[in-house]
Amino acid sequence: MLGGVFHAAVLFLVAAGLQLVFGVQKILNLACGSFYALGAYFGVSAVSWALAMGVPAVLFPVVLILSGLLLAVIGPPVERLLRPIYDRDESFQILLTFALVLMFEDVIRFFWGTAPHQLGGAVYLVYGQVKVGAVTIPVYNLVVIAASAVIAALMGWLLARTRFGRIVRAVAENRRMAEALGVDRARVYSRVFTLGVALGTVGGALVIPATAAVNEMGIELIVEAFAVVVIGGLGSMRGAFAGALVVGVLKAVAIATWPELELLAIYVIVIGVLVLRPAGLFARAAA
Amino acid sequence: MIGRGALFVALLAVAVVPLAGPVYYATLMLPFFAYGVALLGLNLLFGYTGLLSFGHALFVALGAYTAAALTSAFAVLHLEVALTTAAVVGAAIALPTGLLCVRYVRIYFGVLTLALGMLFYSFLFKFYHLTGGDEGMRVLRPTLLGQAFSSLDKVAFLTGPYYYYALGLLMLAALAMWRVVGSPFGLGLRAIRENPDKAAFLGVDVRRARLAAFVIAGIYGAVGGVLLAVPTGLADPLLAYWTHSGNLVFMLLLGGFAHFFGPVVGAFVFIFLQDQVMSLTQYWRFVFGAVLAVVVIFFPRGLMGLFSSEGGFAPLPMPPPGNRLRGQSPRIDHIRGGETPPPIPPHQGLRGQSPRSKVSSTLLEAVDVRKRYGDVVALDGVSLALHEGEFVSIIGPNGAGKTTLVNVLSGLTPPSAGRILFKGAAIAGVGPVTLSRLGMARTFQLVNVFPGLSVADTLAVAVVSRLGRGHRVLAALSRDGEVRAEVEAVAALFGLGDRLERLARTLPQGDKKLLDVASAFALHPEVILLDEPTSGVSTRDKHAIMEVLVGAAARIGIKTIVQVEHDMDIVFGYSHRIVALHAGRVLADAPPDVIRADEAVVATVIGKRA
Amino acid sequence: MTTTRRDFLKLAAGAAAASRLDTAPARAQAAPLRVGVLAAKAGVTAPVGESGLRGTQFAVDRINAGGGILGRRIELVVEEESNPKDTVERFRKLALQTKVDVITGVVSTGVGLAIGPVAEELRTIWLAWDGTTQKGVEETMPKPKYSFRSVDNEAEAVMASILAARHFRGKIKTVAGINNDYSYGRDNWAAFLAIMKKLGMGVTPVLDLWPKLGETNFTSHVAALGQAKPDLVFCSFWSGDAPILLKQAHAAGLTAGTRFVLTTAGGVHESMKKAFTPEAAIMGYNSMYFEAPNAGPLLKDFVRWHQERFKEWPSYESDHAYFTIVAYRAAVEKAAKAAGSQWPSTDQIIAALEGIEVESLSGRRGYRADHIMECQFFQGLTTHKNTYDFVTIDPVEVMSTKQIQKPSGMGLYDWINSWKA
Repeated sequence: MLGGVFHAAVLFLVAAGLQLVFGVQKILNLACGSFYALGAYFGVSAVSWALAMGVPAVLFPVVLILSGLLLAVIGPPVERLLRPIYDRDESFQILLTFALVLMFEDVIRFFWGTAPHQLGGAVYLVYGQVKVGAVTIPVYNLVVIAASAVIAALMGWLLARTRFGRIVRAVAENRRMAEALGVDRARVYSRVFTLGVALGTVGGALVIPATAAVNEMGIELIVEAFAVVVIGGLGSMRGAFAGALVVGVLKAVAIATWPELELLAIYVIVIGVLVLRPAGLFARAAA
Repeated sequence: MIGRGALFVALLAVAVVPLAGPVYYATLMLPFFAYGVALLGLNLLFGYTGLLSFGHALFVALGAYTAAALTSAFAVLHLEVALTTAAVVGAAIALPTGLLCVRYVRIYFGVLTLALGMLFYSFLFKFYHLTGGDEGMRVLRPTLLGQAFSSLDKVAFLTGPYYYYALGLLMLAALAMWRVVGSPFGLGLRAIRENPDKAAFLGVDVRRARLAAFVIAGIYGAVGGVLLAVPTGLADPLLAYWTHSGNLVFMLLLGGFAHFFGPVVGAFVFIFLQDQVMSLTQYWRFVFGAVLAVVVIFFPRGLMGLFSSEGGFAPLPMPPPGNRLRGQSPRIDHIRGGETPPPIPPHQGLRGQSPRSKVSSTLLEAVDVRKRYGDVVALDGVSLALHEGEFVSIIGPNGAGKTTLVNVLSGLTPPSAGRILFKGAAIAGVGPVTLSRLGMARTFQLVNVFPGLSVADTLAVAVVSRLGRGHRVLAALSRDGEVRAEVEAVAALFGLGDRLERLARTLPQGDKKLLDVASAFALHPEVILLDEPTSGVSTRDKHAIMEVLVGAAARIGIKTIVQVEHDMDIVFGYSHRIVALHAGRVLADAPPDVIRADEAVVATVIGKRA
Repeated sequence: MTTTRRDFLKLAAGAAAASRLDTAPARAQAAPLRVGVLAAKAGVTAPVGESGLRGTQFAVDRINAGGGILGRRIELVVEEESNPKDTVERFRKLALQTKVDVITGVVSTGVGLAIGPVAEELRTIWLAWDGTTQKGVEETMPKPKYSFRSVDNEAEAVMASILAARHFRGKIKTVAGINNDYSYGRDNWAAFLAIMKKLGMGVTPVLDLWPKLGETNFTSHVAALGQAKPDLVFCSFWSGDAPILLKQAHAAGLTAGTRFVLTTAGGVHESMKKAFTPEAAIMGYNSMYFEAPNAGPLLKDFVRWHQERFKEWPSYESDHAYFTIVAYRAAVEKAAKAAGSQWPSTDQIIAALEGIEVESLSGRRGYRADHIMECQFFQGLTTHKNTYDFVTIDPVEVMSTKQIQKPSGMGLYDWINSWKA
């Protein structure tokens, strides 16, 4: 079950980035998986470099988070690329993000090659393990879950309490009105997009010690991210959270009870949700 | 549009390739034919109906596996059987998936179709006893029209008889699609793409039409899948992967989805470009991503868009209007001449008689209607009756509930309590399509047109709906004389007869308004609800529009006009009766003179001249 | 005389084919020999494709340094192996447009099943690197002429199962499997269970897990394994997921009390770090082990070349690929000598390839008469006693495909059942 929560924690970060960008800019960013992959590869390189430089191993999550945040600098230029098509039909936007997916795949391949990149097991277990019931899990898994929860809370606070959050929500509700009231749409979009990118890259980086960066991981993740979004409802942060939990936990349950079904489990869930509750669990009225 | 000459030359060139060109490129034309068919279907869905599917590869894979199952599992080698079965299977799968998907639009639709495509991929992978799993299923060489051509080896077969068979099939598919697109059904699809809400109000069953488009697209996709699988000799799950769907959309965009030949051009360019680039660099995905980005940002209308003058679907060819337009309103010319209009005499009623002198039937009635939105009470017990031959204006300050009342009266919004009766039958919340069939139409406050449709097409949507021809999928609309005549007639009534071919978005605001109203009138409704018919129009044109409106109503035979209006000159100039709303209640319901004398109404709604 | 178009096309096709193969025009001596290579460049098979390309490059460099094949330099034309449909098109391009003399490559089973018939129809010799499973050999192409396939992939499971029986007899009662959910994973698990039964191991399968190829998160799987508490875990992962699984299993304490059989993890052996890979696990390196005790100078040269150039230790696909090149050369030379011509015909080359045996990187390797590869397999118990940060095997057990690959014409399970005790 905890494995399911771990998976959910990672999914949430990617889905949150997706939801944020969709909620505000109404763009469904297919490249969210690519940012996740970039974060993973870059995270490996960053930690390997940091350890070689003598940074103590216990600090590696900091290095990961920093590397994820650093990578978010690609946010503004990518957003600039998307800007010409904001006012066009959504189909164009999704297609442009598909173009990004294709391009990022080869960019990653160009810089990091095709072999899997991973951090040694020492880093993963630097915090040791802990026994939860009959199961032993590395503390780092809990760190990831905690980090994800903290980020979720931070996002919630950001959107609900800060000025920036209010502006973001205003633009999400009614773009023209917000602009008429003096909000600089371009700046808001740029920041929101960058935040979305950061969520993806940090998510990818945080996961790296437990797994590995493999070729086309971004393309594979899209499907799960979409499932999360459909289940939770498009555009809703709470939806990202709930959807990720549902997907992660249900997948774990499938593995534990009916492993043959693992491949199909996610789609069964998606179809089920769509039939029973078409708008998702937390759909926004605006979407 | 592509000239006949260019088309002929292209066809000739394609036919000659296997004879004159290198063998490899002849084989490369085969996926082009297959994708061409599949994309014609996708274009119907995206280009014509406005639904972007990211799961079209599902149907392509379906067709491929149908061919595989028939040839290798059931030893049925007739390609015709494979094609027909694939079409049937495609339709059978498209129906339930379409029912699920067309409930949603735009982004949701894209996400859903992507998920369904991946579900099929997983199914193909997982149920390996049935499908062969990752190893796929063989597609054996089929017979063409019963001929096995066994003396030919596979390459000769593929670049010979099969080549021309596939080419022929593509041409057949294109012909059929041409008819579909030019049919009343096709017009309905375009209306849905331009403005689905308005289409519904003109009687187009949006959900059903989208589903039909989805099913047709599924059929075309499956047929394309059969054609695709034969040269490969194998059907494998990767055909259903979402990136394959992405490539299909890429091809469509590249060619130009707003044109009939866009898909074919796109498939051709994509395939040959991919062939060249793949041999040049291992980073061909980057190149293609860049190409797609450039196309999306700078050339959204695709390659065909570069060649077409308007960059939009050309309006259906309609014959030029007749010499003399009937009923051209003199007032409009008058106004355009820049003269001030003469004062409006009190209106005589729709049948030229004062309606109060006659007992007329109640057409539309609201009985104690209430409507709340959460805590907000929009309508608080409104009752009113609208009779035949009346022109009724609803007035009131902002927030009085006028638009809510119109929404409820027109069956768009169900009331929280109370009844709405149209000709005695309850119509609360029936929805726009049923409403139009029952005989009621309405217009909206903000101008609501189909930006990319011509004036003639816009009116045709309504006429087709009224004549009940919206389901005709293969009839050529351009040859329907009855529709044509009606379109011209209505256009003439509204003074639009001389600009039938103009696209709605190129019209000046006043004409757009007229078009909006004209299209509602073209439904020949018995009752029409106008939500601020002269709003957003300059004062000079207001009267002109009202004159046209009333004149047209009389000629068409509309029995009752209800309008929401703020301009008191208009209100008092045209109404038999005025209903004043305030805070969700009827403040007064009486003829103009009585209202003018009613102090309460004057105070809250009309205002005094200072 | 009128020729029907059909006849014309046939003539044209025949002429094209003939001009490719035959009795050499004098110019052919100088003309380079074009070898088409279908190598995976993206996705989970990309590292395997890259490994194959390296082996190919090594072979071609040495051959060209020695003057080429019968005086002809080898020129490589590389196309991408992706999905069956696109790869078939690339194959056709190589054969019909680029007009290469021979095509090597392909590691994916599905792609291989599509390519086989195409090689036959285009009458082009195709020497596959990998991707042969039961179905491919039994059902689809029982008697190929132009296609030469790689080893039966079940050989890995067969050898690993035999070794498991040898080392763990009496020590295990329950087994669990975690394999990728596709033909290779399923075939391996089925073979393992059949052999356990045949060899009378008396084990019961308690759990089988089927993560998809490309999965990177096994926390739930590891948890399920932890709950089932099997004595042995059988795993046929061959890509990046192998080290991830071990890492997560180790982190959950699973590697301490459970024995592991990793049939093909040797393909990513450099990522199987000592930190999380236990000792005394059975690990398979397919047909090439970089530190084989019986290594000839060829292997040592290759390993050194590979390490210097790529800063990595090589994996088995390099040898699959290397073999196809040197086998082709040997066949061409043999056929030319037998026919007494400057360059043999395709049919003659094919005849020479059947039954051929050459010195490849990892030892002797050849093709059976039924066009299936014969080679050696290297597996063993893992050890931490080495100078690397990853595990190696000691002792290295070597088995030939004559022992672990089913003979031609026989089904796998029939063959297993026919084993003498």
